[in-house]
Amino acid sequence: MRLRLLNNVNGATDHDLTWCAQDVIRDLDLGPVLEVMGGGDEFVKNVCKEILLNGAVDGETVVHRQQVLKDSVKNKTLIADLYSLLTRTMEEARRQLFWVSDKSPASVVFSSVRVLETYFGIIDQVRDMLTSASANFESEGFKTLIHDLEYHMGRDYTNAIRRHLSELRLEKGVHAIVRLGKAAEFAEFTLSKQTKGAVNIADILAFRSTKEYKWTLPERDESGGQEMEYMRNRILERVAGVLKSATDDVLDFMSALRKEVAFCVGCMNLWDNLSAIGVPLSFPNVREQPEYTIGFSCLSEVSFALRSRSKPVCNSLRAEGKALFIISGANRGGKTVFLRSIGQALLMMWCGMFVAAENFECSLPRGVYTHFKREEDKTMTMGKLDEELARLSAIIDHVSKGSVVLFNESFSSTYAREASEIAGQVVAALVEKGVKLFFVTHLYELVSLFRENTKMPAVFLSAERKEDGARTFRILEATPPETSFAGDVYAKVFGEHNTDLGGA
Amino acid sequence: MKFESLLYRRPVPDVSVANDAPEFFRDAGLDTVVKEMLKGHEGSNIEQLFYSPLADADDIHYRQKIFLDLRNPKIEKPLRQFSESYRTILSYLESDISYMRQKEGLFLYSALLYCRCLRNLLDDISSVDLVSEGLSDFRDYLSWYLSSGDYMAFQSDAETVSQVIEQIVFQMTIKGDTITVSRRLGSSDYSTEVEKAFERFRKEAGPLRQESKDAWYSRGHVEASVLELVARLYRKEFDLLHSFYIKHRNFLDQSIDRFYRDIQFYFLYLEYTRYLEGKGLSFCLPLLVSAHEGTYCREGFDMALAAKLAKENRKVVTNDFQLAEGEEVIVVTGPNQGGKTTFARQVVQLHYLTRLGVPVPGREAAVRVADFIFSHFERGENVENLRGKLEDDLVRIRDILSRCTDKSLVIINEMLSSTSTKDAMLIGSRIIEKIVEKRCMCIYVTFVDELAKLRGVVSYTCQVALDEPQKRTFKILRGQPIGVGHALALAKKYGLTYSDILKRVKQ
Repeated sequence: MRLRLLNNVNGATDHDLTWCAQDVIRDLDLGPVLEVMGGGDEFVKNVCKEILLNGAVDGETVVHRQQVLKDSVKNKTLIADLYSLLTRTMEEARRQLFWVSDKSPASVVFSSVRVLETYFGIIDQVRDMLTSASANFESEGFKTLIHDLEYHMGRDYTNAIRRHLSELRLEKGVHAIVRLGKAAEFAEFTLSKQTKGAVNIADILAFRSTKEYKWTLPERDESGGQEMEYMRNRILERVAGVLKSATDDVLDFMSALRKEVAFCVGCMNLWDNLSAIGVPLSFPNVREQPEYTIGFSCLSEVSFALRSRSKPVCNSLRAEGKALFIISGANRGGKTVFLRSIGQALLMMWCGMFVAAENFECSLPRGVYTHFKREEDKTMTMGKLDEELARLSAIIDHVSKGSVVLFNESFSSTYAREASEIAGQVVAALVEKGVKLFFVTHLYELVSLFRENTKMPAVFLSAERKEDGARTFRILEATPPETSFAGDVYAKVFGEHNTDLGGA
Repeated sequence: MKFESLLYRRPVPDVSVANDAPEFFRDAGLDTVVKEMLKGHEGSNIEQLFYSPLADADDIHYRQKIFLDLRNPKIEKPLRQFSESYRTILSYLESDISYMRQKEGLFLYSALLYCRCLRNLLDDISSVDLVSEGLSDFRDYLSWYLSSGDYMAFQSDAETVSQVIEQIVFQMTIKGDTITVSRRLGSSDYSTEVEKAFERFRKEAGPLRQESKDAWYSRGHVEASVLELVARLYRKEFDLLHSFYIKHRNFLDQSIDRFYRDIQFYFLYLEYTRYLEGKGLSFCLPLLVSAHEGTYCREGFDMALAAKLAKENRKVVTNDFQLAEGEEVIVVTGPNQGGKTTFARQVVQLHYLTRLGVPVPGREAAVRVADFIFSHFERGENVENLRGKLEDDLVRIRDILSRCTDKSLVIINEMLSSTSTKDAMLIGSRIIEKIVEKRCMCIYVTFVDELAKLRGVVSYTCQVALDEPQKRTFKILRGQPIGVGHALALAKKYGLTYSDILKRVKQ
């Protein structure tokens, strides 16, 4: 049977982000988010990380997962119990499998039989646990799981398996049919079942009329003993393979189930934490028409909220038909936090989770990529530009129509003119290819390039700044500002006003 | 009918094979190449083939055409399969099993394998087009051999016996230290039944992948003893096997054996070149031209260095080389560690390998068949007596100049580096004048730029990157390099210009 709780959790999408996982996690500050999801359990944390960075294949899967998570919200205790039962089993299994691996077929048969006997006990427990609560589940995902467990792993089936396992304890020796090969060697050993008493008259007659020869291993014949062991192993080779993969398969099944349940557990952990802080949460709508729709109200930056344990400043936005968002304005005005909140929401939406907004709608992103200035890149050397370009080039290898790329102060490692020139070409080409871009920049030339470009309509956003120069950390739609505010920051830090530093 | 050799054209000459490498072998880096190539085949007579260049263009063509045929997978694959099988047969026939039933069984197996691999080979190559005389002669021979009366009788005996043996099936029970055998057969395959029971856990449908079991487990005395009991259950069948063994003890054919040994030379060489081809390098069969004719090699390289870099997954820089009709002497100049010596080695390898009749490093080449190759490479040794060393060097050069003809290739590398520049220039230009007079082909590697300007000399120079002068390109060119600017050039390098990105982004 196939597990479909998360619909394709194991199938990679075209936009698997694991190759740039480190960048995405660092740039979008996903560390605290994953910590909270894990709730102290490394496995849960890693599963959530993997799923978050691997997205969903399609909008249907997103809806499927959203329903499963809605069910999880209603059945938190059961989900948690299921997870801990599976976790205990896995840990036990790991101990047992430790000494099964890479042994002779005979010992694989011996130990697999015992391990499988344990596993089938657990399968009975999981099935009974879920079927008894089946009335509480509404999602396709959970309903299918419960049905499949009853249908494919009912009590009759698990009992039949137990009978085979007892036969395979091989208490009456090993029987085989042997065929000779072209070199008169023992070419083929076929395990045959132990016969219980006489089968029919013909067999008995045949037995009587046939000669039987016996050979006994002399005492202290070590090499002979090894050879006999070898033959025993050859006879058991195939059934050992069968049992080994059965053990792996059953374990895989339970691991896969554990993994899917772990994701639900992780999402519930995050849900509980954010709700407690008062951050509004909702399940987003996937909306493909009109093209390039994005709309949200009161979107928060999740890690910011988790770090500060308080409801942060949130932002709203609505746009249609525009693929380019240029964010500029005051330094330390909340641009990066805004960019992160969008990246986080898109990733969370992409993998079927809820988002930290009152409502959120957008077309399904085909991968969310980040190209952030590295904080440590303070010197203006060619080496840094080299590194930035290499990073961008790797992203270009992966993006396609519908992907989202978040740029944060990209190319600031080179002179403004060159940076604007490179960025201008990159942005124009990506937008033309249907990639959605959010670009935080202080490059005035770049901003003006797209302000005047009517073929490529852009949304200009700016960090709000009050008349008195105070920051609200809100991002508003605006015509691109013509000044930078570094002077203000300088003034605040040093307590002196120096217009030379902020000049337009 | 007889088949003589895949290495020499008929009538097979009374070849004098050399046991030792030519003098320049080490200078040209060929010693490591050959050593690497022969890894695992040490002590075979193939090594000598590498030390015995062919003199005659027809002899070279004989081997080149075989290589040409081997480029066709429809020819190479069957030959490889044959070779593998034949190797197995030899190892079985030479094994020293003492138990009669086992020995006879293995003999039968070898006989069947022999018949099968020859038949398959003929079937596979019977209708392919062959350009080489060597392989078509062999094919004719094989076809004749397989329809000869002796062979046919042998094959038919082998098949009859194997059918009888393979029909033997018995029941075996192992319990504790006792093995019981009988003709009684128990119930059917239990493993399959168990597999079915667990099927619903499998992600992919279909049967399990079979574990690869070693067909030839070491057949010990337990099997021998049990086989003796089985022979009692099936007496008639085992008598038949015994008489087959007595009758056909020496079934290998001499010509086929020779063919098997000869073709290893081609396989070994190809194995090595394929490895480098896998790293993006090319090999080609050179056109043969005479002395003083136009000659070239495109995208050539030093095989020894290429193999070393390939192992470290580093890029190999290829270099072109060209001389027009009447041009003979190349002077290579440029910074140290710029690839000058590598270039010189590349040219020696090109000319020597051509004379072995094997593919040479390069995409395309026309090579002058040199009668002798002389090399004088500066060795890194520490010399106390500079005067003495210079003298030795010059004696050696004089010796080379007296022995070489206008068809020879002379390579002189970094000689005179321990003298003053003025002296080096003076002596160098004298020597080059003499070489030019001799009209032999020469590669002269030097640190003295002025030598490149001498009359009758073609100049090749190591290139440096203009933007990063400290970086070596290892390109040796005849002609001037073109520089590049920076800023957008860097973006271009990463394929990040507007038009690059339009091309790169997937739909």
